[in-house]
Amino acid sequence: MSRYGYQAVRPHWIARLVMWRGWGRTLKIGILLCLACGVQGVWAYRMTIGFAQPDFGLLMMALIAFLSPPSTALWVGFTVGLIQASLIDQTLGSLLLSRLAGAYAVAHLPQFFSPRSYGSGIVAVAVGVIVSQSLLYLFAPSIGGRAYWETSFGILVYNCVMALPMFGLVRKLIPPEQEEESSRWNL
Amino acid sequence: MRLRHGWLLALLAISGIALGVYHNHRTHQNQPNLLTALVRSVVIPVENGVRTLTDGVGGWVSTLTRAQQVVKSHDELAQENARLRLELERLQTLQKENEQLQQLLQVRPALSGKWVGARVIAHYLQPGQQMIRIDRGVRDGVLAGAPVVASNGLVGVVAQADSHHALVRLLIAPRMAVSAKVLNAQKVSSGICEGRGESEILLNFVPPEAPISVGDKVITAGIGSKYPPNLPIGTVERIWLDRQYSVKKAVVRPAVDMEDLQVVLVMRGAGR
Repeated sequence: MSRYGYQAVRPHWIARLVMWRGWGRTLKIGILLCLACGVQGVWAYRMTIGFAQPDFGLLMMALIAFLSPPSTALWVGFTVGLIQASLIDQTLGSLLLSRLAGAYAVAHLPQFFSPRSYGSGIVAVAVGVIVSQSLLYLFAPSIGGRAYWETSFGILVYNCVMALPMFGLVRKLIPPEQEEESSRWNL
Repeated sequence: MRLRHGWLLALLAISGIALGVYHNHRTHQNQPNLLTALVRSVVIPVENGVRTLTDGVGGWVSTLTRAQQVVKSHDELAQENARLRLELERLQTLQKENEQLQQLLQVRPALSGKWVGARVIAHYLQPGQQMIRIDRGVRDGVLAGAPVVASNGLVGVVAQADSHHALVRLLIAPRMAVSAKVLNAQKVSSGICEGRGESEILLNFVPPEAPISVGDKVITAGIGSKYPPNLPIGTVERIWLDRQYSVKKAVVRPAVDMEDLQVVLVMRGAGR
């Protein structure tokens, strides 16, 4: 340690933001989320089988949250909620909170399931759908009834089936990431 | 580390609640939410791009599949057949759209006011949502509150209009209510059609003595002039007497197949 403690100097937050190495990953995540929510309005109703239909936004949210540290997962959940609510222009707060909690729950799964295993992608998607849809039921006053649970179950099944190929694709694009070490900045 | 996540979670949760409150406030004031409008301006072009790409790739894959079959069989007749089949599919698609447009044209003279045709560009049919997005907006004279009809009957009402697009809340969506008349052979009765967030509509507040039966047609009453009168809403499927409130209730199957909507008519210049 020198006299002036150069090792302990922490750059200004603007400098850290500009020098941050995660911009490419953020851009990829942003594009994937926009694409998933864009695909939802065009493909989902065409892919309906009985009462089961996919929810691409939830699927992508769960997979990305599973491969990211909790702080990133929180932003992913928030963004998916914001996009989904903006497209239908209703239940904004309910969608934001339910997706936020869903992504946060999924982000803690790597403690129990390895992101290297394909099967863990299915678990992540299942947990994401169950937590998000259950909390949406609690938060949104306009949502209720048996049809909601039927559709949610359909989403759960459909998303779990799609999780297997999609997990491989998303893992290629966004490799699993650990939380950035705060010790780098001597925090 | 754990503490930092906790702070971020709390920050985002509070932001979510604040945004929800702000959104509800703006909605009740009939004013657009600037944040959601901004997000839509980013995502809707993506949605349109996906739609265009899907149509394009679908045609390309279809052509490629047929071409491979032709190469395998080396049969000129098969090639001709494939070409004709492709043409037929295209014509069938055009015919379907044309039929809907023709039916809309037949409906058009019966509607008073100015109406504009619109193409449905996205369906959001999950329970609690039940919305469609159309390719007409404020620039085409489409305002929030304007009624939307298809060839078979009433579709819903414009819930929110951007410059080039509008979001239509379907008749089956929660919180939708339309004054209605039940056309029975004995007597015409009135009631309120309410969306339940499911595929069917609830006909409520029908007088208990009103003669209604399964199969009766339900049409708009036109009370309050928000919706034009005499537009088909649906057909009565099931009836029961609510003894608690002393009213008759019925389940109504909508006249319009919401999943098959391709083109609709929207009233111009009407709205709240």
